[in-house]
Amino acid sequence: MTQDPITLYRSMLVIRECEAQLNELFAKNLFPGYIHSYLGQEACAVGICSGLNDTDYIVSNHRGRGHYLAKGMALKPMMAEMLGKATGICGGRGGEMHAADPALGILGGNGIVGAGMPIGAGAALAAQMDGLGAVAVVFFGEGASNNGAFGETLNVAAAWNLPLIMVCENNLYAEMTPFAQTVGQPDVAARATGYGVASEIVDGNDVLAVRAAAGRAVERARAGEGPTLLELKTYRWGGHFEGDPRKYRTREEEAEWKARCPVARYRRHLVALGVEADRLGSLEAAVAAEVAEAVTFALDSPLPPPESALLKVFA
Amino acid sequence: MPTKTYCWAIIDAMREEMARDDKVFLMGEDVAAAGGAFGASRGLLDAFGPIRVRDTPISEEIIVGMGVGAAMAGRRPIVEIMFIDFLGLCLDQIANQAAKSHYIYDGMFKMPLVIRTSSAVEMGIGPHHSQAWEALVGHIPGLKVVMPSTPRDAKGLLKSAIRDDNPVIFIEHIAMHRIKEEIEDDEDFLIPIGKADVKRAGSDVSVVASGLMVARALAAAERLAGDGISVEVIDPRTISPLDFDTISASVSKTSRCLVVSSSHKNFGFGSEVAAEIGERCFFDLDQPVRRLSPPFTPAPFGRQFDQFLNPDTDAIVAAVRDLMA
Amino acid sequence: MAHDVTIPKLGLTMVDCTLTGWTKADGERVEKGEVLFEIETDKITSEVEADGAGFLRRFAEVDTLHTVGAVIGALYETKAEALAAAGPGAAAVVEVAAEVARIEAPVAVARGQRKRVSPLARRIAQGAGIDPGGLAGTGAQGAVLRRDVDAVIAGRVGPGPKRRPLAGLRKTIARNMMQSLQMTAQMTAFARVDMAEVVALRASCVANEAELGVRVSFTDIVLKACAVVLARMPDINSSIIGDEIVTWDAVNIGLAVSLEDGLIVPVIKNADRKSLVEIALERIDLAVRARAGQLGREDMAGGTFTLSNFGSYGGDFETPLLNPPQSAILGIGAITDEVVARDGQIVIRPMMMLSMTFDHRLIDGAVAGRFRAELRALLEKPATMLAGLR
Repeated sequence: MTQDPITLYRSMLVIRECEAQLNELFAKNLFPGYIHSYLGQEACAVGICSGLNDTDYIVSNHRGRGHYLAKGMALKPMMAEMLGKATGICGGRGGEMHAADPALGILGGNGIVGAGMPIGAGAALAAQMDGLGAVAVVFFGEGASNNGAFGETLNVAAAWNLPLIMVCENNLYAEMTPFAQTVGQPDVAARATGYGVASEIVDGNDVLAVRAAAGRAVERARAGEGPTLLELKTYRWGGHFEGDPRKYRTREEEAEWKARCPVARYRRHLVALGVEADRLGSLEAAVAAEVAEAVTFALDSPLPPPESALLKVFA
Repeated sequence: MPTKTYCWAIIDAMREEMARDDKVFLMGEDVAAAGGAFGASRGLLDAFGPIRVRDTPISEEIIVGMGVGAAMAGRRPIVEIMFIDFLGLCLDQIANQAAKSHYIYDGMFKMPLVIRTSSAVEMGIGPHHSQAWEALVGHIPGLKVVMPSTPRDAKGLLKSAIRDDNPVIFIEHIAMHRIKEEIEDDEDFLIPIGKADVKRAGSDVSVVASGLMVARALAAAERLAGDGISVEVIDPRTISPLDFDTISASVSKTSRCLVVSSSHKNFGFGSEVAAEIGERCFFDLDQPVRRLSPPFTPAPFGRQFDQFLNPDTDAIVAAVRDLMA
Repeated sequence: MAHDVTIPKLGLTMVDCTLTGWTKADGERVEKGEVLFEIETDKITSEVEADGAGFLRRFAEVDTLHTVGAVIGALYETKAEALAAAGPGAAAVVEVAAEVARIEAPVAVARGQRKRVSPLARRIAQGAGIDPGGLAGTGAQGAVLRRDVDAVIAGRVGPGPKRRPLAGLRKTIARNMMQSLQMTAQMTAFARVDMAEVVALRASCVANEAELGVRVSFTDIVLKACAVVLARMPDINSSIIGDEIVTWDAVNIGLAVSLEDGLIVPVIKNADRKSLVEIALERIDLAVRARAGQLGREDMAGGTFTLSNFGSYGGDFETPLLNPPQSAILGIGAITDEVVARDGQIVIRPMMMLSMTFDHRLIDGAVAGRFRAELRALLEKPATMLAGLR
C-alpha cells in the first residue's frame, strides 16, 4: 500500500487528535475506564501500517488506537468502541483495549500484556498456509518482551520461517517501571539474534525510517524469508494510563522527548519538501473537526443494553 | 460395523475431518513424525504432509496461541497439549483468548479451535501427570469441554468438535486408548456436543459418571442388578455445557443420584451436578445427592496411590447401596 | 460462682411443668426480680422472676418438661462465662424424658428436633393429604422416604398412632386422677331430688335478671345449697393430710369447668357467706377467665369441696373422682321430667340425680347420707335455705 506524504501525515494527525481529545474527555470524567494513551508513538503505527495491505494481519495490544487507525479502522466506530457504545465496532463489548476488524486484518487488541504475540504467529502461520503472500504484524511494548510468549514466538517464527513482523515499540517504560531496570540488555532487538531472527533498531519517532524498515521486513516476509523483529525506539508521552502521576521519570525528560515530536518532525519535513503551510493548517483543522465529530458521535451513542452481555458467548 | 479402539477412533476422526476440510490442521508436541506421544495421530503426517501436521516446540502457550491466531485468520486448528496437567502453561490463551475472542469482538471472529489433551488419571505417573482438570476449564464461559468415555463417543464427538465454530477442550484418557467398540463407518457420523448419553437405563438410582468412571459405574450397575437394584448410568460426555436436562430427567425418575468423577470434590464436577440437581430436582429427591471423588490431595507417584485415591467399582456399589438403604 | 435457675414450686400440688418461654437470651444480663421465663402447669401460664442476678445461660429448651427444682439455666458473673458454660442440659432432659416414659411411652420431642423427611416423600405425602411428619421413617436416622409414604398410600400400613408428649394440663389431670384413685377410698352414693321449687326459683331469678344484674344458674343454686350444708357439717369439709385430719375453716367450693383440652377447677371461696348473685357473678368471671387461659394459681387454690355439673352434657349420674385432698365431690345431672309417685298419685316432676363421691376413710356412709338428705331438703324447699341466709 503506497501512501503519499500528505496521507501519511494525515494518518498521524488523526491519531494525535484522537489521543488529545480522549484525554480531554477523561479529564471531564466523560470517559469510562482507563485510557492507555498513544501520544508520542504515532510514527510507529503509521510507519508500519503504511506498508501493509488489507489482507495483511495486525495484532494489537492494550495501547492500540494508533494501530487500529493506521490499519484503516473507521474513526467513528473505533471512537464509539473506546467509549463502550453500542455503535462501536464491537458493539461496545470490547472497550478501550479491544477493537477488531476482520475485513482489514485487524485481529484485535488485548488486555493481557504479551498475549498477542502467539496469536500473531498463528495468523502468520495461516498466511503461510494460504500462500498468498500475506504477512502478520504483532505490535507489543518493550515490557512484553520480558514475557515468555516473546521467546516462544520468536523461536517458532524462526523455526517455521513464518511471515511475521514483531514490532516492539520501545517507549522506555514497562507500565510504571523503567524498562532498563528490568533487563540486562536494553536493546530488545539484540535478543532476536539468539533465536535466529533478523532484527533492526529504528528511530520510532521518524515515520519515514519506520516505514522503510517495515518495508524491508514485509518484503522479506512476503518473499518467504521469515520473521523480523523491529525495535522502534520511541517515547510514551503520557503515563501507563491517564492519571498515572509518572513519578518514575522527570518532567525534563518528558520535555526533551516532546521536543522530538514525531508529528511535528514530519510536518517540518513536509514544509521542507515545499508543502504549503496553509494546506497543512487546513488539513489539521479538518482532522480536528473530523475527530471532534467522531467524539460527539460516540458520546451521543447509546450504551449496549445490559442483557446483551448474555449474547454471543458461543458462535 | 468396524470395531475400533479409542485411540484409532481419534485418529480416524481427525483423518476424516482433515480430508473433508483442508482448513483443518494439527499441531502439537510429537504429533507428526512420532505419531503422537500416545500414538493418537499415527499416519496423519503421511496422509496430509508437514504443512498440516506439525511438530511444535515444547511451547504450550505458542501451541494454543497460534491455534487462536490461525483460527481468527480462517483456519480450523486442532492443537494437542500432551497432558491436561500442562494447561497451566497456556491457560491465558485458553481462558482469555480462545474462549473470549468471539464474545469480545461481537461475534466478528469464529474460534474453530480444538484443544486435544489427555488425562492420565490413575496411571501412576505422579503429581504432574495424573490430574482431572475438566472442572477447571469447565468454569470458563466460551469454552466447550468434551470428555468421551468410549471409542464411538470419542470419534463422534471429536468430529463434532472439529466442525464446531467454538473452542473445544477435548479430553482423552490414556487408560482408555485400547478399549474397543463398533463404530458406524460413516464419514458424517457425529455425536452432538452438549448431549449426555444414558449408558444403561435403570429406575432406582441415577449414577452420573464421567470419563474413566463410566465403565466402573456400568460394572457397579451390573453387580447391583443381581441384588435387584436398578441403576441408570448417565455419561454426560460433554462437561460444558452440561446436559442437565438429561440428568435431571433421570434423577426426577429415580429420586436418587450419585455423581462419580475423577475431578476433586471441592468445586468439582460432582459439586456442579449436585447443585444443579438440588435446584432442579429438589422436590423429587428421596435421598441427598452423593458424590464420589478423589480426596482433596495431589496424587503421588505410583499406581497404588492412584487406586487408593480414585473411586472404584466397590465404592460405587457401596454408595448406591447407601442410597437405597 | 454460678447461680442456678430452677423450676420453682408454685403450688401445693405442683410436681412439674412445661417451660414455655424464655424472656432473656443466652449471655443477656438479668437482674434479680426481672421476669426470666414462663412455665405452664394446670393450663396456667406463670411468669417466673429471677431470684438472682447475672448473665444467663439457658440449659433447657422451650417446650420441654421439668420437675420442680430442676436446673434449667444458670446466672454467671460474666457474659463470657455464661456463653462458655455447657450446663447440665442433657442430663436434665434425660431425667424429664425418663419420667414421662414412666407414665406413658412417648418421649417428649423438643421443637428443635426436626423430623427428617425427604423432599420427594414430603411432596407425595402432601399431595395425598398425609402429614409426613407423623409417619414412621425407615431411612437413615428415621428419615421418612418415598417408600414410607407409598406404603401408607397403598394401605399396607396405617399412618400409625399419633403421638404427642403428655404435658401441661393433661399431664396434671392424669396424675391427679391416678393419685385420687390410688390414695383415697372412694365411694359414690346417689340421691334423687325433686327440683320443682328450684326450677321456680331459678325462673323467678331469670325473670328478675335485670334487677339482679346477673343470670343465676341452677349450678349457682346447688352450689349455694352445698355451701350451706357444708358449713353445718365440718366433717365433710375436711381432709386427711399425712397423719392429720384437717378441718377447714372456710367453705371453698371448686367448680369444674370444661375446657377444650381438659378440665380445671377454679374455686369460689367462702361460698357459704356469699349471696346467690355474688356466686353467679364469680362463677361467670371464673369461667370466662378459665376459657381465656387467664386463671392464676390463686383462683385454683384452696378448694375444700367440688361441684361438677355434668347435666349440661346430658349425664344423669356418674361416679365423680375426688379432687385430693378434698374429701367429697358432688356431681349433678340433668333436670328431667320424670314420672314419680306423690301422695299415692302418679305425677310428673322435674327430677335431678345427686352423685356424691366421698372419701370413705374420713366420711362414713351415714354422714354422707345425712349430707345428701340435708342438701335434698334445701333443694326441695329452697325457701328454707333462703330464709336462713344472713
